[in-house]
Amino acid sequence: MLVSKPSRPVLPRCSSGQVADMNEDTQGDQQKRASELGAALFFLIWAGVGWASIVYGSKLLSGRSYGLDPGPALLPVITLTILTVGAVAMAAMAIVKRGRRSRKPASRTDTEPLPIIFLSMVAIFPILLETLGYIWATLASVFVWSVLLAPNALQRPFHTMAVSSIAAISMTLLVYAGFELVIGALLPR
Amino acid sequence: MFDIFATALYQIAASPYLLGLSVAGVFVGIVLGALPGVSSTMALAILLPVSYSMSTDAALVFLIGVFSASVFGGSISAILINIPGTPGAIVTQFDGYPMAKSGRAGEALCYALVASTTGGLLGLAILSIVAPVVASAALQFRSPEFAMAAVFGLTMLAYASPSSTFRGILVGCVGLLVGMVGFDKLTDVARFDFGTRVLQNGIDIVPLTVGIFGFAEVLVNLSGGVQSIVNVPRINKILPPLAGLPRLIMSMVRGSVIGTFVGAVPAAGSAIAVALSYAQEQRLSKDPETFGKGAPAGIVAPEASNNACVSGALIPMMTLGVPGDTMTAVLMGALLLHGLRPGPLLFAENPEFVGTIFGSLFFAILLTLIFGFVAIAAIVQLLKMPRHILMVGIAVLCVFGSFAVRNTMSDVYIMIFFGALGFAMHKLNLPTAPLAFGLVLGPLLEENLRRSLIVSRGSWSVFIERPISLILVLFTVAALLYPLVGPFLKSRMARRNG
Repeated sequence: MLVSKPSRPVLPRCSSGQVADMNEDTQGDQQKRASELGAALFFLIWAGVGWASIVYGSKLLSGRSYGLDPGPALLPVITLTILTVGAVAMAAMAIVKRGRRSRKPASRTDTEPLPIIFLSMVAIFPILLETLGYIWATLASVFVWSVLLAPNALQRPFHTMAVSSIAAISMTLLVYAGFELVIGALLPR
Repeated sequence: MFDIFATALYQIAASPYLLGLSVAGVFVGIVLGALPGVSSTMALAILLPVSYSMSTDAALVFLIGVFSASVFGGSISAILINIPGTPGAIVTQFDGYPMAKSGRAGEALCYALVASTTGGLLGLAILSIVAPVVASAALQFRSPEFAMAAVFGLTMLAYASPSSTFRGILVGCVGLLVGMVGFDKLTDVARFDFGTRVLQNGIDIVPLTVGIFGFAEVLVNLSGGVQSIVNVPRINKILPPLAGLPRLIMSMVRGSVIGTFVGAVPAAGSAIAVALSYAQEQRLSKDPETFGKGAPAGIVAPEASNNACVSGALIPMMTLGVPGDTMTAVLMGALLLHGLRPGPLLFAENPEFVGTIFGSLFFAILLTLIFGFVAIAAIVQLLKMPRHILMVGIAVLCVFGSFAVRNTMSDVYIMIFFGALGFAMHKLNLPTAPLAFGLVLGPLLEENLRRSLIVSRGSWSVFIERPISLILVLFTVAALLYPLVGPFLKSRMARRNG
């Protein structure tokens, strides 16, 4: 069942000569800043996980000498340093920009459940493959995914079911032929 | 070089298996390229696992077929339904779609096909002349130059990233980190493994590329909503007026030359090449007002440029080991999977392999032309395929493709993780390509960085003492500084000009 994307509100435009009120935060500005903060957080998480692995989990900083070789820690440390400094700078810039402008709470941004639902269902697929085996897991999953993604599924249920069934059967057969018979992969039984 | 090329051509033509793979690669490439939402990189990424069980030669013949043909495929949907199948076809739609709307869809496709073939062949000719020269010059490269070439490649990709250079560099760093997961090859010390055996084996390039270029793109497509079946115009007459073609030859030649040389700049990409070619043709045209209304020159120049880019992007990959774009990064991943590292030594140590690349590309171009004339009407019917079924099919391919490489479910989970990561990066306006570049270039960078420091006894000045290395350092610094200084300089010049 396809969820239509909510339409974005049309933002008022400033004609030349008009001065936009810089204290008024537009939704676009808020989204941009949220994206900047999100990106900074994304990089900080990678840097944090990397540093944690180096400091606690591995023998990289054990002080062992590798002779003239600078050792396996050189590039990880350089890369993590760039990543950390960059992420902190990005977060600081986003926060400074936020401070300069109004602190009106951001309005609701687009919610896009379809990719998230699809991602969750694909994430379950390997478990189904291991428990049900290739044929039943693929037949069931492709059928359900096809129904889920079909536009106008509620208006045309029989058509959707028929198309999804054909898709499920043909994809199961094609994958078997392509991967098991041609490539020689051992699909889960 | 000609002997090697001729031998490779004969080997492919004489082997039904290799010829069949080339035909299959070209067919699949045209079809996938034509489907909206499936880029050439995505087509290559989802078919990369299929090539895993093949020999190196066979894998190359197949993947180069997909690579080359998908570029033409991208123009089919650009012309017929005004949606470019690949980023390089974005300019083709300016004149291709108006021509198709006026009832000349077949003609527009034929112009694109002839230009693709011309661009492909001229690009291949330039590649076969330029690549050995660059490779022999690159034989002077030592570790500092290779290390700086890798840094330069990463920086250029970040510079060309759609969001910002800064973000691109940080994503490249994440790619480098991902490439460092597992045992260090020189010292056997495990890095970023968190004590798990899965991570000690390292992150394979297949699940990563399939995840970020395949599965993530499916999720991005779904976030835009799934459209119903589109109306595809009928194709009646394919051949355009033959008298008009000779007048377009120079447009195709100019487009091909621009495409090859822009494509050879690491990370410049086909989108820049086609935009330059289109602008150039419009400037040189006696009737510039016809551009955007179905001018044949507006189709042939960017199409020739787009296809010549394929050969151009192979130049830095084959000669320096630095991919020219995301597609060659995936192709390079395929070579690494088969234990081959591209670079200047390739020409000296594996000339027959270089011949296979040239031969595969030649057959791919030729077969695209044949398929284009014979089967275009049937291929365009595939555009009517429901898009949601296509997305489900690609997701299924991503899952089984990742699984098939090592017959392990952990690769499927890694693919899903990188798919989710790629989707999150899209939402955060972060480019995904530097991630793959970081993974591919990471080992080259680390090996040469450490070797340089060993030879120089720990002195970092080794990177600025050697002239080529110094030039690469300066280019890298310029690419890093330009986004910071450029706007300031522009505003200063604008103020000075009043």
